[in-house]
Amino acid sequence: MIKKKVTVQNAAGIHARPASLIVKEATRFASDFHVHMYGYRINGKSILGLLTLAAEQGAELELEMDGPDEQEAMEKIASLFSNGFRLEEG
Amino acid sequence: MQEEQAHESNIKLTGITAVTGLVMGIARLYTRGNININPEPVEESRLPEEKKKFEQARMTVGMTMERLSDFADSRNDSDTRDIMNAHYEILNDPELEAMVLRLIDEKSYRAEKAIYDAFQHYIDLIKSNEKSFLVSRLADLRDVRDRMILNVQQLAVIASFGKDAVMVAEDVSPIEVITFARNGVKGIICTEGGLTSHASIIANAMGIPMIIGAKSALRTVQDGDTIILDGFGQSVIVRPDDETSSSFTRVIKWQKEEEKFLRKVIDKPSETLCGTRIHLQANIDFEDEVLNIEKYRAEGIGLLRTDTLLMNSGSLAMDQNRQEEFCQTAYAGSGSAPVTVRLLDVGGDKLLNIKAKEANPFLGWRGVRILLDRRELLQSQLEAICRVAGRYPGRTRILVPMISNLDEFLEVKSELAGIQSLLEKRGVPIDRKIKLGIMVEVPSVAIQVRMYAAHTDFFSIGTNDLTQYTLAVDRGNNLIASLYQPLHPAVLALISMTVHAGSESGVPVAVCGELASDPFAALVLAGLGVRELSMTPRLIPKVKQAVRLHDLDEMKALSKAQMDSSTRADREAIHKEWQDKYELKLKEERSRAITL
Repeated sequence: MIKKKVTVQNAAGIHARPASLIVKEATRFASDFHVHMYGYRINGKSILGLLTLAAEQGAELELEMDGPDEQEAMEKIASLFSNGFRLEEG
Repeated sequence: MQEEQAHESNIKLTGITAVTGLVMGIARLYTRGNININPEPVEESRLPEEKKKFEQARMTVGMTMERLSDFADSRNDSDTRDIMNAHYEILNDPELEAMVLRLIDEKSYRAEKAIYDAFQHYIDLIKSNEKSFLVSRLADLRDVRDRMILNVQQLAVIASFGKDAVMVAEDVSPIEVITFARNGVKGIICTEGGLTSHASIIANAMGIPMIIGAKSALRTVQDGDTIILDGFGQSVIVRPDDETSSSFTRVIKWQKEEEKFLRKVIDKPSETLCGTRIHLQANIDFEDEVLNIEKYRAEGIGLLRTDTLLMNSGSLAMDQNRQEEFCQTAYAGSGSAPVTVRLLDVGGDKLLNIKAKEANPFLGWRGVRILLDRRELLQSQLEAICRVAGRYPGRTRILVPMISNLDEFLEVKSELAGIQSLLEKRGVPIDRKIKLGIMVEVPSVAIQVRMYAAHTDFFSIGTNDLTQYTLAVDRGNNLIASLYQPLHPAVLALISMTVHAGSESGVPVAVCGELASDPFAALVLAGLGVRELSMTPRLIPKVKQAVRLHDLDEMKALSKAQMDSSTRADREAIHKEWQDKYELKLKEERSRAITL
């Protein structure tokens, strides 16, 4: 299991579109994925769970990845945060 | 003006016949209504059904969302696409699913109540967070929730319609057609829809006449109107006047007598006038059809399609238990006769998770090509089949679709051997006599059929694809529809080569394309030497009737004439000549049946 702290960069926070990007990316991997925030721990593959966090710009989250492909999964998800959920076009 | 038209009688609407037939009934408008939650718990025995409703609603709504997302994408409308993608993730949320199923189990809720409460749990959570910027966006959640509940309720609404119902809808889904069939719906009229859609295939299998593309039907027809669906005339008659309705009643009565006459043939053996047996088997797509095997006395299953299971699962991961259940039902419903299970035969386009569009899907990643790239899928299918085969030894034939190279077949063969020995090691009873066969649909197989005959236990000819690949005609393309000729001499030549190679090497040859359900085509195929024909079970009596009224020499003459024909006009003349003679024979047979 690996953990990593990330910060929400984009102005709008984690609303429906960024949340769906996170879920879409996370479900491509076999690893279990959880997100910690303010003492809550939610299933990162659940868009509804992510939305209940209501994570705004500047919020700090801890990502927890556990499984055979945890390294690659963590890199992919963390980069979604660091580029502010800008969808690569094409 | 519209008001006036709404009450006018005898309005004729034209459409396209998707499933032929003639019925008169009461029109029921099938549209989306308001949501309405029944909080009463249900009996424990009904809980599995409620769970099924939830899963079905999830799948149907998901397909709609994907279509909307693709459509938005094609118009570069990225906002709509993103919203649809988010809705899709909400719909498929694993925590939501777990909660709905738990509510059904623990509180005995109906599907709609469980869905409503599970969403409410999340809506409350989001609302309780005062600073949440998402409160204004709760509409997304409510939208997905309402779509699912509407879907569940529609299924319940259908069940409340009477037996004379003729459904009038914009479009219908495969699940809706199955629900219609279970509730005795007489006919279906759609304002939209495609001929090759899964919904019309299922309507055909269940024998429900269907007209699509009747554009103004929803504006003209009122709920409760008397309505005539005339599949032969490609039309719908709304509020028929007395004269029209009595003339159609006469035709319907005549049609019923025809059916009665045809039913007399059901218990008679399927053999030619000269006593040659022609085995008529069933093509089966889904569980509800299994009863038709016994009803129409099919001699086993010539083609058990497993693709519907995949469509219902909505992804490349097929539930092995569901596959086993489906096979089990099919074996149990077909006495002691053989069952031919075809491995998955879908194109990449049917697999919802795979978005990559192929330029030429029919020449692309499909059938065995997918199975060999996705071994876990192939292995899980083979395991499900082998487990059931072990319970019914000596009856199983496995058919491999889309073979174009021998290597592919040999690979599947070794996978099968691997699965069998694995199961044996685990102590699972296995059937050592499972037959593995090649589906002849790519011309390369027919051309080299002698070579393949040395490796296969049987051949089954898929006439739809064989025609499409031989004549380079996409049968879904209206621009070239007239070029699609399954009885073209070139196609028949390939079939004939396959039959000869089969008889030389003792390998049985069957035809499992829907072509076999056309009486004329069935005679031509029998004339070429085919002895096993597989078709939608309800069409068996018609074919059996034709087989019983001809001798083998007549059939051989028909296929020779057909193979020697040069132009389409030649072939039309052959068909016409046969038809005239056959109608006379039928007339004689009918008068004999009356005097007896």
